Amino acid sequence: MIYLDSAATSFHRPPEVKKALEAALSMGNPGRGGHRAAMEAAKALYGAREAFAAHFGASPERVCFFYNATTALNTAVKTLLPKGGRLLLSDMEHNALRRPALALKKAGVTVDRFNGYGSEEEIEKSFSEALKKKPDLAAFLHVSNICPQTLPVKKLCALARRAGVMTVIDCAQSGGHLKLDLNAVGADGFVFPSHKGLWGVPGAGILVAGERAAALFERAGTLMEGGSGMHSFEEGMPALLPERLEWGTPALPAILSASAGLKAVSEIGEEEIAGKISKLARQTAEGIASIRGLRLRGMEGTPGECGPLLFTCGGGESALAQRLYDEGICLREGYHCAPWAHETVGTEKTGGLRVSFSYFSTKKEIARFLWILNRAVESGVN
Amino acid sequence: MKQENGSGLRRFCVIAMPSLTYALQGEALLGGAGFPLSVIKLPAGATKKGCSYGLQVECRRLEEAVRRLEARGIRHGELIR
Repeated sequence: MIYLDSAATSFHRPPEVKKALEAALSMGNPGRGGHRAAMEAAKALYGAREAFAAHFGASPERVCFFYNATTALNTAVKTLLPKGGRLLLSDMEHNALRRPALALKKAGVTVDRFNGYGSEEEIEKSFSEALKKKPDLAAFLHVSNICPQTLPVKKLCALARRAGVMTVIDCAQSGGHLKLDLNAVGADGFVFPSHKGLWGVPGAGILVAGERAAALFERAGTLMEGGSGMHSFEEGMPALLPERLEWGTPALPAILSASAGLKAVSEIGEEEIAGKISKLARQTAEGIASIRGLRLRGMEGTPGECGPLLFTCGGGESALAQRLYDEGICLREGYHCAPWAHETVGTEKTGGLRVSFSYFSTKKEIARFLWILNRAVESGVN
Repeated sequence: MKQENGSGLRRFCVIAMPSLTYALQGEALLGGAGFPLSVIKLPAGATKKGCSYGLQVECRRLEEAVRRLEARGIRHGELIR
């Protein structure tokens, strides 16, 4: 089997992640009691907060844990946006932001989109134009989940900051692959899933909030409520982050596995990781481009170092994917929960086959995949 | 609160903390500075709000501990002597 679906989830994980996951299975419930098992779990959870905070440029109390990146993004957007406010997104968003935005639109929020596909200059120009409409919040992805398009987040955040607009970045495809620091980027929040570039298991989403966003989270109402392990007689959630946004038992195994994954990422370094992925992507792109009948899509923008590749075959994409599945190739076809992005790159009618890489993918695997792909196309399966 | 430490009785005081995260943040700061301390769950009924956590430190070093927390912007609650 050759796994080329890392944009969906990590498949190969370093041993320290498995060790952390196993350790979490013998812990109590953090923040629920003062006995040894609960306190050990609380200390482990706090250690994860410290690790995320140090890596992404925040303080530990501004690291909030959710159940996936979608929950974190929903919480960020729906809490930071005032009632009847204005939300700005890119036209490349995954449904993790598109669907909350469309639901907010029905509730009276104005939703604008800027062009997130093209040269950096084109994207900046479109974003600047959209800022003139004075959005309350700009939320957008860093790296597309269908193609290598990478948004110039640092420049966009600088423009937003000058316009007094808050920014939340969906780092689902860039976390663990590209070096990210909240202060260096100038964003008000980063959101990551536990299970992609951070190499943890699914089950947690991580919001790293800047000071300005944290203050607003502590003033605004809460999206959900529930047990927090403290102040039980209070009607609402605790006043301060992170507990204000953490309803119910935290997903300790997922959080600790992602924290161990982050440590492994730090030891290797994002530069090394992105460099390897970039080389594998180049090898794959050259191979696909050389196969008659296949067409790489989404390459006209600003391809970054770590995004996935998308290709079509002129009809019969599903049949081709099925043939590849039968041969043990794990890639993904269809729309990848990103209909806006497919409209933007012109694949809304066919969808496409997506190939995505991890640090653990190898040149040999790519060569084998290309050989199988070539054979399938030559045999006329599509 | 009094505890035996072999060379006599030591009095302990508690700094109530607004959350467990702040208690652990305080522990990291003060523990790193060599304070003997522990994070404790405050007894039920210690606050009207319900369960909460605190930092147990030696009373003789209470003021210094509070000063260090405040200097680092770590929020705290009442002092229980």
